[in-house]
This record gives sequence, C-alpha cells and structure tokens, in this order.
Amino acid sequence: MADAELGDSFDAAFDDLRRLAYRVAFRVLGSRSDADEIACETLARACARWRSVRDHAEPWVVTTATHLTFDLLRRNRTAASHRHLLIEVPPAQGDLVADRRLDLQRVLAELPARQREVLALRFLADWSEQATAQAMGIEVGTVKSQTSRALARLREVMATEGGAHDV
Amino acid sequence: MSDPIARFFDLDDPQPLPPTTPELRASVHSRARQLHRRRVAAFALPTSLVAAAVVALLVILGLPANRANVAPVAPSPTATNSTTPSPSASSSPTTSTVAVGLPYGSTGTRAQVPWDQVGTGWFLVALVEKTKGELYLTDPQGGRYAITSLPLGAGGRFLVSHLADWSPNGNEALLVGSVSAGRTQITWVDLRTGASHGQNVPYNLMDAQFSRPTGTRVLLDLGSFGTPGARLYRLAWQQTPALLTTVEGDGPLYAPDGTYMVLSAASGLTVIRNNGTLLRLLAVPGRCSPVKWWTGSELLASCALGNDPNRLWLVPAAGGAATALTPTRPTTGPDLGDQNAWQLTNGLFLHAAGPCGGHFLMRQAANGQATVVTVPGLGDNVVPETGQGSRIAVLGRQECTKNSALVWLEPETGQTQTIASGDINSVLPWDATQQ
Repeated sequence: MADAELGDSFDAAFDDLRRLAYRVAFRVLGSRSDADEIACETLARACARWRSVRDHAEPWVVTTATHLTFDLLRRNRTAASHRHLLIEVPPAQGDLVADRRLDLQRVLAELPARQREVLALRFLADWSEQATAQAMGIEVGTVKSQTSRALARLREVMATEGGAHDV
Repeated sequence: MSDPIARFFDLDDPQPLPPTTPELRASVHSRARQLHRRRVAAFALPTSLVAAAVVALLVILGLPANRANVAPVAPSPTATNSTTPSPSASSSPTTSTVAVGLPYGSTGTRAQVPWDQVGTGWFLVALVEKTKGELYLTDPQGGRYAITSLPLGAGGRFLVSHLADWSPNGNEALLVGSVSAGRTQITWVDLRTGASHGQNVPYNLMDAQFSRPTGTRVLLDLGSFGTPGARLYRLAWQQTPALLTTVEGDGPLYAPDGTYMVLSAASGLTVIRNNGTLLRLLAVPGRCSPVKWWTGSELLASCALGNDPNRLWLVPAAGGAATALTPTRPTTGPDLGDQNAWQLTNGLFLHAAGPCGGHFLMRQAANGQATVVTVPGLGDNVVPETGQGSRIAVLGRQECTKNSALVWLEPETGQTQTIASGDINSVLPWDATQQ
C-alpha cells in the first residue's frame, strides 16, 4: 500500500478508533480526561505502526487501550488518586457504582492477562463471542470459558468483600 | 451478569465525545512521531502458517527439512541478486569488512560464527518460523547463522517480543515483549552459547537497551505518558528495577564511550551522566530526538519545529550551534519528515517517514533536493536500517507476497542482495558507534 493510502486509511479510521479507545478507558476509569488521554495515546501508538496494525485495528486498539488504562490505574494507586478519579463519575450513578468501580478495577487488574483481554473485548468494547474469538485467534468455547472464569472471580470478590477498598 | 458488574461495564460517558479537531489529529501525529524512533516490524500470523505448510509439504515430499541444510533466501523474482559481495562494499571507507563468512544464501550453526569478524555489515534477524521465533546472525556476504530458538509471546500475534539492542561487546542480544497489561518481558540471549533468560518487569516500556559502556545492566525507558517526565530504570538480572532518574524527555542515546547519555526534552536535548545528574543542555531547533552518533563528537537529531515535518540536525555534544543536515521541504499533508541519515560514498541517503506507517529511502542531492529511491522487489515503502560503503540495507514487504525481506541495495545500479526473507519480526544492524 502506498504511503498516501496508508495515511488516508488511518485518517478514515481515526474517529471510530478514538471512540472505541475512549469507551474502553472510560468504562474502567470513569474519568473523562483520563479516558481522552488514553484514547489519544492509543491512537498515536496505532499510527506509529499502522502498517502492521491496520488489518486488525479494532482489537489492537481495545487491547492497547486496556493495557494503558490498567497501567494508569497502577500508577494512581493511592487513595488520593482514586478520589480524584471519582470526581468525574456522573453523580446520577451514585456512590455505590463509584465504590464498586474501585473494587472491580482492582479485581480486573489482578485477573490473568487472557481473561482480562476477553472481558475487555466482550464487555468494554461490546463485542460478540464470535468476534472476540476471531480477534484473539481462539475458539468461541475458549472465549466462553475464559469469560465464565473471569466473571466468577469478579462475583466471588464482590460478594466476599462488599464495599469499596483503597487499592 | 450480576447487576454491579453489568452496571460497571455499561457505564458510558453520558456526554458525547468532543469532535476530533485538526489540533487533536496533529497532537496524535506528533506523539506518533516520537514513537517512530525505533520501528519494529511485527507481522501477521498467516505468514507463519503458510511457512509451516510449506515445511510440512517438504517433509511429505521427502525433501530435506533440516533448516541448516536449506538455502533460506527466496529472492524476489523482480530483484537482481548478487551472488558475490559487491566490489564497492569491500572498498568502503566506512567498513572493516573482510571477505569472511558463509557462501551467500547458506545457513550455518552458531559454532561457525567468526566472532572476531562480527562488525559493520552484520545483522541480528528475528524470524517467526512456525510457532516460535528463530534468531539469526547474518554476515555481510549474505550467509546466516542460526543462534537460538525463542518462544513467541503468550498473547500470540499482538504480544511478540522483538529485538531491542545488541550489547556493546557484541555477545548478547536483548529482546523485549509485552506479556500483559503493564508487564514486559526482558530476555537476554547469549549469542555465543544460545542460552537465554528472561525477567518480567511491571511496566509498559517505550524502549530498553543495554547500559554502556559495560552492557552489564539494562536501561528501561518508560517514556513520559501519564507522568510529568520520562522515567529511566536500571535493571540487573534477577533484581528489582531501580529508578535512575526522571527526566523531561525520553529516548536516551549513550555517548560512544558510555559515560553519559543524551535525551530528548521538551526544549532542546538533555545530557545526563550515568548517575542521572544533569550535565548540560543542548540548544536545538524545536523538539528533537537523538538518533545516533554522526561523528565521535557530533550527534544526529531528528527535530520538529511547530507542525513542520522533522528535519535532521547535527548537534555538537559539547554544546554549540546545531547544523541543518536536511532542509525544510514543502509538504502537501501530514508528513513525519526525516528520521535518520547515512553518508555513503555515493551520496547522502535518508530515512523519511510519512504518516502512520509509511517509510521511504530518499537520496538528498547537494542542493538539498531529495528523491525517493525505489527498491526492486520491495517498492518504495521500506525502512532503511544501515549503510556500508556504497550500499544501504533496507527492510520492506516483498511485492506480491506477505513476506518481508531485508536486502542490501546498491543505489547506483539498483542491484539488491537479500540478507533475510520470510516472516521477519525485527532486525538490528551492528552499530559501530555503540559497540
């Protein structure tokens, strides 16, 4: 593909990929500014290697945005940082959701990488089991089993620990 | 799903995402420009599946399947391949090449490597073969030596390790690969024995390289994303990474003697000692990334001023005015500009980048005008890797196939000599200024 075509294909995909990265990051972080920053960083990384990324751009963006999101969470692991993150949670969602978000962030961060990637594609990017399987190069059955295990782990922790925790 | 989990996953921003502005696009392209410094080719799985099928077919047909006995290189039908070393290559003033090594296109073992001859013109090449990676050392004559096999990343095609650095003494290679969110595996390979060992670090890395001058440790560059400055860590095998310093910029380039390093900064270039303390600031036009040493005292930097494409500047490491190597060129759209350069015996050659994955080999005339050099069999979307004498090595995608090829090109004649082809993961040329 000629350079101009490469540039055009990235520009054409820009808005859709930005929305996708933003949604993934926002669903985990609940912070508009952090999600926007992660979306931009994800797009820049995609741009820098577009020639090899373009054929599987959407799963690549979801995976990269997820990595960057949890990387950011790890860096913000103080109570103060989490309070800062919560400021932008829509008030209508209430404190319960905000508290649960902290629990889920922590548990998601502790999941094995493959389970977290499955959850990211299935529930953060809203992909079907078939699409997730195709993107990850695994069987649909594996997607189901990995999803089931990951959700079971999430539910287990949520049931056991109840309220919010500082991470 | 239970309600709390479902609510968490479904919690979208109630406000619409602000529209994409030209400034936002420019900002993304600017950041991509930074990330271009070390370009790594990672190619799709189907190529390795095709390769596996070919090997299986050879086995079924009873042909020799021993990799060491099979000529590895399948020259592109449109490329002209020299079967002997180029005369101009051996007369290069910039190389100490001696006609040693294997016959062109043959594969040897690690034990056959003439270690005292490894230098300019040699490459480390990581190929994806079947379900594992193969690391080769290639000589200037087109022979290659199988060093060792390495497993691919656990995540498949997204998470493949790539070659990051070659140790100062030439005996070790460093590979890095993301293994999960915020976790990177660093792999040391002893090229002489083929032994390797790996260690995970809890970061997403921008870059990793051997420390200089000894190469006994690894410098981890975490970049500046999400923090006020780039964080540099030192890592020794089986130890916890130790924070060296936090600096404004990133992209450390070690001095030839390894006693200090040059980094990009928000304004100018920063020179720091190996202990992380500031030595001096270098004034350069715009935001610059150090590329390599042009001479023993002058470094090549790729600089962006405003929204203009990058230009190359020669910057005295001791301080003083920078000199432009490439001029501002008119552009009709997004253009990342000049990224690297090689002064060959027959002219100045540039690595120029377009937006989002386009790379070119360009030749700059004495008046500053530059023209794209098309490589037979690879087209004009290629990444120049190194120069030697009158020839230049480029990595590109073979026309009409999904394979990649690393080739030597004689720009004067258009002759090419394939160094490696197949599902190339990454390559590293020997760099005389860093080794």
